[in-house]
Amino acid sequence: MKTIRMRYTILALLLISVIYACKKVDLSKISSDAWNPNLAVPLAKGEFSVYDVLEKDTGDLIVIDQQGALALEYTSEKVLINAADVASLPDQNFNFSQSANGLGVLTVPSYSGTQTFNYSEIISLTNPLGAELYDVDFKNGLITITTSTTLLHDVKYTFSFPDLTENGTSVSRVINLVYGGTVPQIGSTTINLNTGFVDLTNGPNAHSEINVNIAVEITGTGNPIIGAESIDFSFSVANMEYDLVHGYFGMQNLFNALDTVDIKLFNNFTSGSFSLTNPSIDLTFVNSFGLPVQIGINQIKTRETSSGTEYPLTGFPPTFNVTAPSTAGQSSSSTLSLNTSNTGNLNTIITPTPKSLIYDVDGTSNPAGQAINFVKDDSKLKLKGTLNLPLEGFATGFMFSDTIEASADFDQEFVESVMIRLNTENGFPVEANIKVLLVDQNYSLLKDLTNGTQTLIGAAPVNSAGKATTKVQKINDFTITKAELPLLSNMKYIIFEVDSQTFQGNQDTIVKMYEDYMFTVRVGMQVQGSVQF
Amino acid sequence: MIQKLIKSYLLILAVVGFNSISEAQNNFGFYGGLQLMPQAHAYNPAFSPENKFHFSLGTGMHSLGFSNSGFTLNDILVERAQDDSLVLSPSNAISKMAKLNHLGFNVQNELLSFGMKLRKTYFSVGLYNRLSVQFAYPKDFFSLLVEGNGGSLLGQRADMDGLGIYANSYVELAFGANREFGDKLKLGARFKLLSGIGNVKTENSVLGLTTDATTFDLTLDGELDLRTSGLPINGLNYDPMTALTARNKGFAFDFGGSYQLSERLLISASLLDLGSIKWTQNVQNYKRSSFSYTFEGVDLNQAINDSNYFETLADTLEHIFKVEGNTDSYRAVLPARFIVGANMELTKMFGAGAFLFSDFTNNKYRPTLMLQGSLTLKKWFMLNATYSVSARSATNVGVSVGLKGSGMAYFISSDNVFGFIAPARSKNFHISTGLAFCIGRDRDKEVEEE
Repeated sequence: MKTIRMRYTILALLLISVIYACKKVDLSKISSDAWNPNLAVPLAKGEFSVYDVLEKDTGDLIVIDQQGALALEYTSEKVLINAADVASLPDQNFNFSQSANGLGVLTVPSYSGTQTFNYSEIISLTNPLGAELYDVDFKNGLITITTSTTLLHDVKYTFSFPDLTENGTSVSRVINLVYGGTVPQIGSTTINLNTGFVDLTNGPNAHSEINVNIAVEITGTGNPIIGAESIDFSFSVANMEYDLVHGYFGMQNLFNALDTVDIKLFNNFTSGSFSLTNPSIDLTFVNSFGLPVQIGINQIKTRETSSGTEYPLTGFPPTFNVTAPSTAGQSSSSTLSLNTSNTGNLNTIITPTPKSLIYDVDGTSNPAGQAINFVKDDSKLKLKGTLNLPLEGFATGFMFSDTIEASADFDQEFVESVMIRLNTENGFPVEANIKVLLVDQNYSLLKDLTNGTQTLIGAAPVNSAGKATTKVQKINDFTITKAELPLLSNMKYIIFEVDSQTFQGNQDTIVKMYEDYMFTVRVGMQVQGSVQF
Repeated sequence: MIQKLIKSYLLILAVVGFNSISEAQNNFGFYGGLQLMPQAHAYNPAFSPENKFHFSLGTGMHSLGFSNSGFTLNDILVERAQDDSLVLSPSNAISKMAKLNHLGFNVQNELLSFGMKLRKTYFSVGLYNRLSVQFAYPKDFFSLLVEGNGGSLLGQRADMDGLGIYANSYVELAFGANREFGDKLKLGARFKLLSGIGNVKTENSVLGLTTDATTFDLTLDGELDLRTSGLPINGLNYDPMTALTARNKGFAFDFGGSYQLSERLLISASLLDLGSIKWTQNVQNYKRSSFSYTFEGVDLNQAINDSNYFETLADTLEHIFKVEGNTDSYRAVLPARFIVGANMELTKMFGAGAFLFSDFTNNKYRPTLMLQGSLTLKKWFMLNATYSVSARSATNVGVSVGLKGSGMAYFISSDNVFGFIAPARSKNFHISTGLAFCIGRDRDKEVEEE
């Protein structure tokens, strides 16, 4: 009995084992299948401040006020006149001729004594603008004095310039002519003006004149004096350069100037409406002439580059006085500020997508009449034109497009689909509705990635002061299916068509740009693979 | 081409990995019907053969096993619903995995064995070659490989902590003894001199890849402390005799005891491999301190402004993955085991038992419960069957056969016969066999039996 039971038990165990083992794996029955991994990778990340966003066209133009609000400051600087335009001292020659009789020399058959004859002459300096010169502090220049006589005796010329000083001492020069048997006897000397100062007010006209005292000493050689002999001299003044000149430079038109400020902010926009609510134009004149100037403002306008249409500014003052510094070497700054309250239409001439600001001005010296002016060698009158655009206002329908080169030449055999994720976090109160087009080398459309325009960047909402209060995140996924993947092989460019507007721009909600606004963009990719085996 | 490669890969896995045996070599038969075999002494030093003297020289126990705790071949190859063809289903295999899984290979060779009984005391000497290799693989490691990081792991940390290799090869010279105390209690111990051949020890392995669900940012974190000695070992063909000259020395203890609670009930317990080896020879350690790096994509700001940006990025990545090395000696503790259980003699022929095996490999506790039944048909023929269940495997049926007589004792045993008859459904494979020469009968036992 026991044996039978045991046999049954063993039989049962074997049966269980067979049943358990009967299902075997036949590896030859393995059919084809696919491995379908899904890979997610971050492609790029960028965090951009207002400086980065505006850098392309306007990075160097940003100014920040104490509250951190931003403005764009477009400037243009132009030198209207230099010192040489007002006061220049051209080379000049002065000739003086006397006869022995004219000088008072007696006629004698043979002369062996010594006599001295004194007299004065005046050198009148002229300048192109006809200015009255009162004094000149030279830094360069040369006076060459040349004498010539037909007297058959020794002659000594002494030239004294009481109003011309070198290092504080009056200048004099002596020319000794020792008769050697031939005439004319010729001599010369020079005066270097590089440390010279001349007072030009002691002549009869009280300006522009230099007094010269001449002493002629004749020492006889036993030859006769017939009275007709010449006793000549000349002054050649050359290369005069001044450090400082005083005078009266008259009431005259000094310049006519036309200048342009490029407003690069709008370069990429093809259309749109915007309103910057608080623009201003500053015309700052920096004057280092001791010369008051009256500025005549002939025209201020904006010009749309694409169409050439001009928009003149109205209501601005026709003239503006530029003050002069009281001390040589200093400068005086005078600013004409034009804003929405002292002009007629500054807002509107900025609004229609201008590309440049043009202003036309002229200048008249000494508008109040006679005055003592001065000119230093480096005096200038400069005009700094500034268009100040506080980034506050509203905009709608601002459109621009950009094209970048791109290629996607990769092995598509194992790729089932590709998903591109654009993840933006925007702290700017500006939204962007973007269309992304993948095109070939002929700009033929391969794929409209965004399937029309999508809001890829949301506008941050603003408070009543126009400041953004929070960031707005937008996540957009764009899928390229397996059927579309071959198209990517021909992709050459990606075109971005952007239609942007400020937060509730169509409701005229004013937004302001602040320094602390940030925009973050992150691009990720998810690839669905499929490997058949 | 890929198809062929993958199929080849599959076949290799089928042979090496999927048909496997228990994670540790328990040789369940020695706790049941084979308890009186000379080799049982190595599994509980309180066990000893009936014979007064035995020895083996090269023919002693040879045990071989594979194990893969993660999944079976049937888990990864599933039948298609519309026909009987098989499709590869890694996702099904992944669903069967634990958080951390082990692929293991074990070899134990009894090179020399000698034992003799003097009255109530039994003495033994044995020389063993032992080799174990274990690869620990996290479930997420395969999930990442199969699904990528954009599937179920998106927004999660692919937890690959614990990924590592543990390999230990050494020669063990064991001196054992046990003694009966009274009629019921028997205590035994073995002292083992160890000589290391090669070791790989993943002391610490942390690896994670987190993919942000929104931005897809990749955060890689990790830490590594890997220690090696004596590498490379010449495959499975290494010469254990090189251990004689090796400088990697250690020692270990086995303790065991049994108590005859009643005439039919025997309880026993053993604590095995309590020791360590100090690895000093040809040491090469690799260490990377804790790091975490997040790649957020190409930094547009830097890429635009810094012409050397990509070089800098490459330098950064190189720095992150840079592993420091050293040759400092280290101590590796052996994976200790604690076994406790009871055998009941139901009849003269039938016996039954229950044992709990506690494995402490790599600082992790892994219990296995084993139920056993034995049949002694004749004095020279013993049959033993076991059923064992562990946390990751519940279908292990073992069979052991023992033959004794004419001065010999032979056994063949497997802890899981399904590894042979149903390899596709098995997580482990094990076979063990051995022959010892036995002389003399224990007179006292014979008197007791009579």
